[in-house]
Amino acid sequence: MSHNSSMSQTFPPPDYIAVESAVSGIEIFKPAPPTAPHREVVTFKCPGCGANTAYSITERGLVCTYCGYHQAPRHGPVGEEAAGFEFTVDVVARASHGWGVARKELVCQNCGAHTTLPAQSLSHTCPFCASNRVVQRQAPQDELRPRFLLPFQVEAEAVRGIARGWLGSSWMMPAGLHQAASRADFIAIYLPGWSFDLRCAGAWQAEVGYKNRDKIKWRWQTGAVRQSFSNHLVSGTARIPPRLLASIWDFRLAGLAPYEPDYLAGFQAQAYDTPLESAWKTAHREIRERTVQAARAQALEADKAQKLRNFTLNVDFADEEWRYLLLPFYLAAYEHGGKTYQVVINGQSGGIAGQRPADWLKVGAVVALLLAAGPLLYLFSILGLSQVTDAASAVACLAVLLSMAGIAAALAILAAAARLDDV
Amino acid sequence: MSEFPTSTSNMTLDDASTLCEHCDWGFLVPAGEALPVCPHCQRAVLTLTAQLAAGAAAPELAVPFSVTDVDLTANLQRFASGFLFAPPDLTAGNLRSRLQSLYLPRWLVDCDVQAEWRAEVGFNYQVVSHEDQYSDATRQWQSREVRETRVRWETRVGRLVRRYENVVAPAMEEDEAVRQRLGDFDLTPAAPVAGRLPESALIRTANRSTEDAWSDAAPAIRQRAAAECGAACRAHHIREFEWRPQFGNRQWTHLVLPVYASYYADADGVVYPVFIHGQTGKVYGRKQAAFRPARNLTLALGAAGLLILLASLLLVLLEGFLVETGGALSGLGALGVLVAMALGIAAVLPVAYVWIFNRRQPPDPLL
Repeated sequence: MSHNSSMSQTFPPPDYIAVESAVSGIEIFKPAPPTAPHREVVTFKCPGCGANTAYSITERGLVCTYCGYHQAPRHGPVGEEAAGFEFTVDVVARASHGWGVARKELVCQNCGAHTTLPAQSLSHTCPFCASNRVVQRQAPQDELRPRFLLPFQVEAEAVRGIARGWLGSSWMMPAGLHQAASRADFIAIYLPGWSFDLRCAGAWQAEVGYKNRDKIKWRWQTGAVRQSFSNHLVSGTARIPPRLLASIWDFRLAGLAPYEPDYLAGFQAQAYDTPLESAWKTAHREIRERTVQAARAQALEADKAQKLRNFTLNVDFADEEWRYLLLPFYLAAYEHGGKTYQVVINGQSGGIAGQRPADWLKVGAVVALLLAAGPLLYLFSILGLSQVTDAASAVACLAVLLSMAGIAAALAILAAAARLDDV
Repeated sequence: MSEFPTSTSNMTLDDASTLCEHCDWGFLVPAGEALPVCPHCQRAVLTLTAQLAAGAAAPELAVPFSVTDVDLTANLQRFASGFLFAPPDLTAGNLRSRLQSLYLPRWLVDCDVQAEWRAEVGFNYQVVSHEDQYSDATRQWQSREVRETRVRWETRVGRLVRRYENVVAPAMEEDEAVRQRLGDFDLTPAAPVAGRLPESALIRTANRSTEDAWSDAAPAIRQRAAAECGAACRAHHIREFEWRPQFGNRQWTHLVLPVYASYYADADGVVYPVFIHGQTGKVYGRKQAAFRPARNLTLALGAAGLLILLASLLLVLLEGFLVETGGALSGLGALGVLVAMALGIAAVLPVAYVWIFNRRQPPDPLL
């Protein structure tokens, strides 16, 4: 007969709930799930003066702008060790659903983007296409609830400066673009992302070519690569072009915090439209390529190894986990020349990416000028200096050099303009 | 509760309680039967102790003998054969003719249990992963889904009010030895003892009281309770089961299990007991290879080898000193020496076989 001090005098223990038993005569209790009472609507009101509160990036908490009341989030950052979900067969069924706070979901009639707003918001501008026409609709309840988010670290005031610096950095852009972008309103919005942890073990086999005097000698080799991937991030939204996100996708997940409605007070947020399965496949694709590269590099590590052929690789994935995150961005859309352009800023690092049109007329004029300078000088040497043979020859040579330089410069400018014009 | 159940409804006043003074095994001998040799050690005749003494409880349930004649004969035949230099007395027929029905005791206990319990229960779930394969030849990836079963552990506490019946507890100290050597018994066919047990059957008396047996029954009940708590939670596994039980209303039942006892004697007259499981027919006993015939064969081979050796040496001497045959006698002599050496080596084998074979036999006494 055992006596266990952990079995207390009160039974069942506190915070335990009854569970149905499959055997008569046996009662069962299990620990109650650690969830806070669900509230349909969370009102962010200052307990001091009753004014509305919103999350402050500077103060890192809910702040009342009238009386200075401050409320820090309940949980501090958990960083990269944030708990993930396994890819169980019924993973979606097990996850909790809903956003935790009643928010209005809005559908933009112009571009179809789904966005959620704080309950008290009356109007807003679509962050994707700058459209003001919005229809309100009830938020669906079948979405996974985000578990973690990265709080904003870049202040809203700093965003304009970042945008001005980015847009004013080249003469190839149209005049007035700078001003148009300055007038654009940057919307602070949380966009969805998926992060994945996994381990992969790869066994490769290939024929490795070794340099043997002037010949290549082929030899079969085998090897193994083992890699661990932690917090491999994949975008959960398809509304921002991937090439824009790719250039500012440098989040530091050490600041990851457990999701609380307080963080979203006063901000917009978008639910995922890239489902978990698609994001998982994308992550697999990216990780597979990295594993292939690592295996190839390993195969060519040996001294005098130069080439590979008949390469095969078997990869086993294990211990896969996922997290649904919210990531901070500033979005803006500005109009110029009758067209709309997007700008995205990483709300943590301040990195900026976007669409900047090149003024092709201006570029074309400069290129034309560069290309014409040499021939014009040559014509001058023929027509204007025909009587002065030596001078004409010198100028002609100069014209040839100028033409070559002009061609090179024109090509460089065209290339730069093409890179700049990422519309 | 008395140390032993005192029900004697199936016994007559003449059933004798006996004891073997050699191995201390006690038996109940049916009334009117002559006191037999102890079926356990076959060394001494049973002696009377006291008529229906406390501890000589009559059985209430009995598992009947169910091994068929065909299986019994086949198993005895297999036991008696298959090794060299078997004693002449060890035959399936002899073993069969000397079979003595014997019943071994075991306790069954029923009791009520009330308990608070705590455990970790495990639920199987499947995790999806992948195995991918890439080849330069196709420049494509092939992916195969792999499912792995894992266990999710959760804490559960509860209360239990159950009655556990027919929990087995040993009634003799040698119960585990019987289980290891003959195997376990199927208790399903156990039936109340109505009237007398099969004629001439001896009943081994219990040498473990119910108080002692309870120390084995309690863990068995705990094990059953843990399994039931896991089933109640609909879990696939259970671990770290702890409980605070209160036992009540214990009822003990005396159950007997069927075993046959037999014996054989070696060439020196030493008797070796043999036991047969009354349900499966499994035979357990010490096989003793006879040393004398092996020794005789060894001597014969050795003597033959010696003679051949002497003759061979003689032939070599004749060739060397007296007769010129061009080497024929020497050759014959050399061949003879080789044969003698082979016979010398072979002569060792019979006694070596008997020695090694007998060393590998189970210890005596058997149970």
